[in-house]
Amino acid sequence: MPDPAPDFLTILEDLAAHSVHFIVIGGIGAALHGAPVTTFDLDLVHSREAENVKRLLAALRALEAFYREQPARRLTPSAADLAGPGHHLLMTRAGPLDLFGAVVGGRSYEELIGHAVSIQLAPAKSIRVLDLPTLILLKEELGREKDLAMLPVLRRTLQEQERAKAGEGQAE
Amino acid sequence: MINDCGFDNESGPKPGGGNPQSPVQSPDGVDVTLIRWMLAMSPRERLLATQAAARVILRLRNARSGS
Repeated sequence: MPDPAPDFLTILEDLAAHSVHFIVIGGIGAALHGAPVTTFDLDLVHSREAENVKRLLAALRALEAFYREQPARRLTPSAADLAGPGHHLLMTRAGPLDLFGAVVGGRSYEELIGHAVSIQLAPAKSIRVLDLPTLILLKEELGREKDLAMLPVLRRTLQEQERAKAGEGQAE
Repeated sequence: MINDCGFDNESGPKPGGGNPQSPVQSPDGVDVTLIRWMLAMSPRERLLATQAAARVILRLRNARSGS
């Protein structure tokens, strides 16, 4: 059976409906800030606090999530798995979802939340997205070719955001 | 079909960017018009545009592989 077409909105709405605490990072985070990038998966850093892991597990069940490395086995993450700093590359009924207990430099949800902004996807539906300067910093630190390749677009998007804000300030 | 998702598949300079104070391409080759187009959208619209682009690319890839 072919993999489902990515439906990032459904994944985010399901997680939010289960009150999961998470921060959107990666390409979707960049796109939400206005960067014209293409990506095929949704990257999130989740809170590893015990109650949040319970809510996350419930959301993952609703999303029919399983590890995509061995799709035939349909292995699912446990609470202990999600409580650790590791990476979980999952397939869901709404497309690929990558969960990170921590990202480059061992940064956890708690360390990143101060660098996240609230973005409204619909009335009364807000999600947390890592801010663009921190997304750029993480890409720089990762230093992989695919991350470095995205940097010019992210840096220019940040400049355009600042230019637009300056224009708004002058107009007031 | 690639245009269905709203993303541009051409890398050359764009016509109509006549304002010298507002170049359409940055020195590193980034198409600023695409950034401005994305910034003009709501976050929800940006998410849906990105999702649509991914779907078009996957559809093309699957068509090539015959699956």
